[in-house]
Parts: sequence; structure tokens; C-alpha cells
Amino acid sequence: MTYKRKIILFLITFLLLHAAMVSVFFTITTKTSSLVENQKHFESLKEAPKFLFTGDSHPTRSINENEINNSFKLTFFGEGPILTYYRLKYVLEELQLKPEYVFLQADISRFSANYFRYAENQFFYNNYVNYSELLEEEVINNERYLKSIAYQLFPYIEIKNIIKKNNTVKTKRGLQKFSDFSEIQKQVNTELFIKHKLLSNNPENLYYEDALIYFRKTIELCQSHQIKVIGIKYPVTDYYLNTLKHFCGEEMLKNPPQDKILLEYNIPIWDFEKQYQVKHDYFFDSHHMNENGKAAFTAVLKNKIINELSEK
Amino acid sequence: MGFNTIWYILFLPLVVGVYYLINHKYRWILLLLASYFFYGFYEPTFLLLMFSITLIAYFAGFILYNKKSKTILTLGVILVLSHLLFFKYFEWFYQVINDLLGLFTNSNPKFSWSFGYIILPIGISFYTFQGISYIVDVYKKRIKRETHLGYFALYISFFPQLVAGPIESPGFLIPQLKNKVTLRWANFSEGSKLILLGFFKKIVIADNLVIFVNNVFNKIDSPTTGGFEIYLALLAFIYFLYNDFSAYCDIAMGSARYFGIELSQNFFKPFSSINIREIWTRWHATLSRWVKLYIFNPMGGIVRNNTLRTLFNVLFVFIVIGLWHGASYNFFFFGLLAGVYMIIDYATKNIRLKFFKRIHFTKNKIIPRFIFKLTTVTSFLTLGIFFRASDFNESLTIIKKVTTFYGDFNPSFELIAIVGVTILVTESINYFSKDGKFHPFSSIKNNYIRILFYVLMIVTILVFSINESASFYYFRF
Repeated sequence: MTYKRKIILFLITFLLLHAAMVSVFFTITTKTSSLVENQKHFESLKEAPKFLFTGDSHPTRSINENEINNSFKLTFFGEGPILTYYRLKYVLEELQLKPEYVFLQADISRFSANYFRYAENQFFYNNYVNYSELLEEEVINNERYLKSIAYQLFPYIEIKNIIKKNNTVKTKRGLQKFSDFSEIQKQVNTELFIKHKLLSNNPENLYYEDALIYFRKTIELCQSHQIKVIGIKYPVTDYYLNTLKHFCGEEMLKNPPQDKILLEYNIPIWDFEKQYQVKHDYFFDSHHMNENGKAAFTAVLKNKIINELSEK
Repeated sequence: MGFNTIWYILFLPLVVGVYYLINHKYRWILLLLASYFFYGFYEPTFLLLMFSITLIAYFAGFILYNKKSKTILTLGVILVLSHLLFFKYFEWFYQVINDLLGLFTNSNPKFSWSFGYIILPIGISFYTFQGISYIVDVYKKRIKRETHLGYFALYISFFPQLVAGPIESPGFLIPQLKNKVTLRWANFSEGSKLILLGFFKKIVIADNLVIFVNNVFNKIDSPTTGGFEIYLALLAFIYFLYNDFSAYCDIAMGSARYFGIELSQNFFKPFSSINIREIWTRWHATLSRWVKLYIFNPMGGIVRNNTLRTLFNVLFVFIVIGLWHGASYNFFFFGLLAGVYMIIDYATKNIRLKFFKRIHFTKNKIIPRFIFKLTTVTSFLTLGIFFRASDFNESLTIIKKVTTFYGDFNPSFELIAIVGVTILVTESINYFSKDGKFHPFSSIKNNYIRILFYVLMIVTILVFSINESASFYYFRF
């Protein structure tokens, strides 16, 4: 076989396999990704919900939106402030679906660097995120920009993670209780997450400047569409707060920058952070609520919405 | 710029493309600029260091060629070596002196002077050795001096093998750099196969294996981490190291092949070795060869009728190999232990041969061969303890736990599966890499199946590339 024929054969085989992989990938994601399902559900709404919750796994795990009238939970695991901004921008500007209230998650660890570094579900977020803009604003570097192009060309790069993540989302310890952990397990579990995963062993990573900038931009985006914003802090355990305090120092946790930003824009903060800090049976780990916690917190949140925002 | 970055995937085809578009007489300029750009991509100031070594070695060679002077030889070698000694060993010497003073004065003295934290320039251990090779080879008249500073600078900095070898001798590499190369399918094809194999080993095997290895070693002190788990992690670590480093070498050889240059092979199926002597000729072979040629032989090598001198030479050389990897007590003990193994192997060679012959235990038979290999790999694993542990105390913890292996025998299917699959895939690659080829692809005779195999490998690499690919392990040396 001549080398020209080998090259042609190689290219044809590659393109065929590539096409097959892309098809398989999109079939899997369309059918199994709860993120895609969540977005599809939202887009199928005839009119915008009155209350829109945004954020990462904390609101995802803490709220049962079916219990709160006229609400929708546009949240997903690991969705950081930058991704939330672009997703919301799409909702408001492209879909023209404008809720009356947007709840912006303002948790203590919402702005940590790692959430954006380990951006997952690129196949989904690439539809909304403007990487050229992020590159121009120096939020990402050239390498990250090139990677975003690679993810568009070869979306199945993510297939391993998508399958793993879907599996995690489905099976993730919804009924597990943090209170069943031994003291050592509680501490080790919390420390591993905070030190290694969340902050990569650097306390300075707690507040990622770009995440705060995009938090501010999200507020401005909402206000430009005459949408009322509410900052909300979801419940976590005392283990989580104490480990953060111990690792980052008390000074870093005093007057968090997101609170200052919210105050600057006269936005109310609904702070539930410590509401259940010792109710370990409401959590499945140090910072995610389990099904019992979700039911209890949803009831409290619902009452607050009824009382303060007059939603019956 | 790491091979496993998106930059290199753009950089290499660009340099190759321009290389074949321009006239031969300007190609050295392109390769030199590309190499300096490649190295400067890590940290531009490192370029000064590399350039300094280049100039010292070049002028030492220039003088030595006209006048065979031991003083110039010594001066040249010391000046080149001083770069490595300062950047790699200065802090360790400082620590050793402090520790020794502490030992004698029963206190914890610290010198008031300090240079602060010294960054280790990437690849310095490799290009320093190449600089020394050149000076010694010119002095010994093994080669003529290189008159062209550009080609000489390219010999020191040639980007495919700059940061982690293979360590090439000037007599082998410089003439190849000067060869007029035409675009040949064979070069392109062989180069691409090696690069593909390298990426597969790095991204699919090594990067996944290291997650498991680190998970175990990060909680080595935990009471839940048992001896068997550590044993598996050590085995996985050795295979990780092999896949990681040989992946780098494959990509280096493949990249160089695009320019018509054949680099030396560093790995010859090391886990097929039937004794510890053999493994050192199969594992990081260019380092072993360098050490033998430039340290062991000049020291006298194996001295007949002087066992003590031979013992010293062997131990010294292996301690140098250990410390070449890093400045720490761990690497010192790694080298010392490797030396001890060599001595035992050498000293018992005749007795063993006689004994095995008597019980008809020859290396050609399957079971004896398997036992010899297992013994060799197990000995190599014990070296891995000092290689992987972050400090000497951790090494002791590992030894303590591994020796109580049976006390907490609690095999996890997942761990055994990970290690088992890794060994199976790695040894299959090695098994099918035959007939003088360093990749397994030629074993597939049918063109269509072979092409399908390439494509499947590329897609597998893409799917596995989701993980943040770690730097090559040997970059730290």
C-alpha cells in the first residue's frame, strides 16, 4: 500500500470513528445528563418562573423547587459564578425568559479557584460561555482558550467524566447521614475536601478574583433587566465552617467580599449558613444536605419567600 | 514546554514544516531557535544557564583539542559541573552540614547565611552531562572538536531530548545534526508511531496510574493503609515510572525522527531482566552508559585482585546515580542500596550459577526464568521505596508496613485490577515491540487493521486526555 493511500485511509477511518464517537457522546449526554435535562426543562417553560435559583451543588442539594410555587432551580454541581453568569445571560438575553427574582448563591466557598479550573460539562457550557471574551479579559490564558476549542472539536474527550458524573449525580448518597460518620471520618472527609479539592492546599484560593468580578457582573446583568436579586447562603455544617476557619484563618472569613458586593448594590442576604450547623443528620457530607435536610430547608425557605416576597 | 501540552502539539508540526521548507544550511538556525524557545518557555532565565554551559564546554573543547591539558580538562568539567552542583545540591549540602553539626553539638544550629530558595532549572542534569561528555571526549580524542558554535549549541539544547534525555554523546548526535535530510515517509511514519505510543503510555497509562499511587502514598501514615495496599502502590509506582519516562523518551525519539535524527533508546523491556545487573542496562540505559564511560571506567572499573577497590568503585558510581536523581538522603540510600545489590549480584554470580546448574535451573526454562524475573523486579521495588518516599522517615514507614504485608492482607479488587491491567498492557506493548522496533505496531501485519488500531489509540488518548496531564516525572531531575 502506498503511503498516500495509507494517509487517505487513516483520515477516512479517523473521520468515521470521530463521527461515531460524537454521535454516541451526544446521544449519551442528551439522554442521561441531568444538566441537559435541567436546561431543556427550563427552555420548555412557557413563561419565566417568578423565582430562579442559581448556583452549584449546594442549592441543587438543598432545595426542592417543586415545593416552592413558581420557582425553578437552574443549578448544577460545580457550576461556578462565571458559568452561572453566562448561563443566566443566555436565559435573559437569548431566551428572553425573565424571572422576577434571581437568587444568587453567596456561600463562603462559592468563589474558590478550583471550581473554574476543573470546569466540567464543557460540551454544555461551551454553548453559553464566550471564551474569546474571557481570554480578552485575562480570566483564562491562551492554553485554556485552545482547550475550549479542542473540546468543541472533540466533545467526547469528556465522555469518561460525563458517565462518571451522571453516575455520581444519580447515586450520590441522598439518604446518607453525616451524623453516622465517626468524629475522625467527619474531620478527614471535611479536610480532604477543603484542603485538597476546594483550595488546592492554598488558603488564598478561597476568593478567586475573577469569580468575584463575574458575581458582580451577574448582579449588574440582572439589574439591567430589572430583575430583583437576593443573595443566599446555604446551610453547611460546623465541621465545614471550622475547618475553613482553621485552614484559612479567621480574618479571611470575616467580612467576605461577596457580602460587600451585595451590600454595595443594596441586595438583601438570606443567610442560612449556620442554621443547621449542628444538625448533622440533615447532611450527607460536611456541606451537602441530604433528602431530610432538603425537605426541612425547603420548608423554611418557602416560608421566608411567602413572608417576605408575598408568594402564596 | 512539556510534550503533553497543547503548545507542543502546535509547536512540533510548525517547526517540522518550516524545517523542510528552508535550505539545509539554515536548518541549524531554525532548530537552535526552536530549542531555545522550547526551553525558554519554561523560564527564560534558564537560557542563560544553558548558554553558559554551552560556552564553557565549547571553549574547553577548543583549547583541549590544541593542547591536551589535564588542568583544562579538570577546570572545564568543574566549571560545567558547578552549575549542577549549585542549583541541585547546594541546599542539600547546607542541610547535611547542619545535620552533621547538630549530630556533634547536640543542638540545632543553622547558618546565618542563606541563598534562599533555589529553583532547580529543568533538564539541567541532562545537558550538564552532555557538556561533560563533550569535554572528556575531545580530551580523550574520541571525537574532533566541534568548530561550529551553532551546531555545538544545538547539541546541548536539541529540544526533543533537552529536558529529560536520552543523554547523547557528541560523537553520535552532532554528525546527525549536520546530515542533510530529505523528507522521507519512513521518518515521518516511524516518528509518528513513536509519538503515538508515547502519548498513549503517558496519558492513558501513567496519568491514570499516578492518581492511584498518590492516593495511597498521601495517606501512608493512616492506620487504614495496609502493607498489601502499599506493596501494590509500589508496584504501580514502578510501572508508572517506566511508562511515564519511556513515554517521554518515545515522544523525544519520535520528534527527533521527523528531523531525520535517531536518538538512543533508553529502555529495553526492563522488567524482562533476569538479574539486577541486567536491569541497569535496560533501565535508563543512556545514564548507565554515561556513568560507566565517564565515571566508572576512569576510576578503574572492576579492578582484578583488588576487591575493596572494586567495591568502592561500584558503590560510588551507584551513589552518584542515586544523587543524580535528586539531592536528598532518600536518593543517597537509593543509590547505596542499588550498589549493594550489584555487589551481591557480582559476588554471588559463580556460586549461583553452579547451584542453579546442579538443580537444572537454567534461564531458558519458563519457571526458573519467571522466578529470576520476579526476584529482580522485587529487588527493584525495594529501590522504589526510596525513590518515591518524600523523606527518609516515610521510607521507614513504608518498609515497616510492607514487611507486615501478611498481617493486614486485605486485597481490594479495584486495586488489584488497576495494577493487573497496567502490567498486562505495558508488557503486551513490550512483547509486541520486536524485530528491532521500539513500538508494537509492526507486529500487526494487515495494513487495514493497523490503521484502525492507530485511530482507536488516538481516540482513546483523546478520551483519557480529560484528566489534567501531569508533568513528566523525570523533569524534576
